[in-house]
Amino acid sequence: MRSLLLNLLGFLALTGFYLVGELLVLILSIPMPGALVGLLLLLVTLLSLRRIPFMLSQGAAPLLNHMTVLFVPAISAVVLFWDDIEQHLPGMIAAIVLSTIVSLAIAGWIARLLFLPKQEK
Amino acid sequence: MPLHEAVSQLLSHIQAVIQATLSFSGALWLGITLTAYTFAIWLNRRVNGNPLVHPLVVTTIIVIGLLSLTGTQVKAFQYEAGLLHWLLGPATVALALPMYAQWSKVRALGWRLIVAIFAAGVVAPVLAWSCLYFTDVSVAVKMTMLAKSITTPLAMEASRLIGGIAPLAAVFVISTGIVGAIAGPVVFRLLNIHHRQAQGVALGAVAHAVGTARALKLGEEEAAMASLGLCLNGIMTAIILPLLFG
Repeated sequence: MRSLLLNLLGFLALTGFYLVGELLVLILSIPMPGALVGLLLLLVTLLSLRRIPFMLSQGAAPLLNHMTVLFVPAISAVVLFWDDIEQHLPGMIAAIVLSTIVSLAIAGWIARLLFLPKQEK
Repeated sequence: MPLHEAVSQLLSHIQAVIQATLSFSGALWLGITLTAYTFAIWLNRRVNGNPLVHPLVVTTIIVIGLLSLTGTQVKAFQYEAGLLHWLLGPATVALALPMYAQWSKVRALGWRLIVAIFAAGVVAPVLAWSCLYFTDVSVAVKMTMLAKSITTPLAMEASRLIGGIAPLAAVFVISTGIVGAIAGPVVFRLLNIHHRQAQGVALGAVAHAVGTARALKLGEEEAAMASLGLCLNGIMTAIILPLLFG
């Protein structure tokens, strides 16, 4: 019961940060997703608190663990664009597969190049 | 926009979500989606977490199948199950927690980490854009492709802000994640990249959450770096794209 309450409080806190982010974006017409502003606000808050309040980690766990299911309504709209996708399927598949593989190679190579000297010191 | 207008806009959205959730059909579609998701997780465990059988792919296929069987419009489903979509907001904010948990690594690696993730964040969209340059796909699709390497909630919002198609962004993002999770270990072996932190950063920055799940199987060090790559690249890309193209 107590953990459920903490869950709820943590969730409400996250929602609060989200709504403040959305409000700031609307009022100041910032060209950024409102949720991202909320994320940055929470990160700054955590950095100044220097710890993660227990209720926040309780509230965040179910959202982070099951974020996948939250995408279903958005992604199901893909059927509305199916004609467009079908027409350009080979190009899109090539774009995704090629760019992902080459980016992984380049990113891994650059990261190794940058991280190695740091560790040898 | 003045404050009271912004507040009433957010409140009326929340009210609509609550209304839909409390209606019979809303509760029904939410239940259906969650049941399909539970099955999809079970199935994914059965095949040992194979990225091809990603729970999102399985859940979406089941839901789309049921929508067409029952003759329900996608738009109606999106309204009924609006709670799930709305929860993406708080869930995105929650990404600050893993980010904070890895903060000591951010400080230890400093600019090297930022540069490495920035490089990954630039290379992936530029390459994807170049691949599409020679095809006749619409500009909206090309814009959408730019956000394909970042985590889904940020990708959908960022692509919406730059004139892309949010649902298509979700599809591109998930496909990228699946390709990255499968190809990552092979690419690293071929190129002799054995450095664990480098592997993690590349997987997270290029293949976001699906890549991070794959990194978790390589080891904890890889997973920690991957979640950093996912968060930092997501933040950087979602800030930069609207500034460049918004």
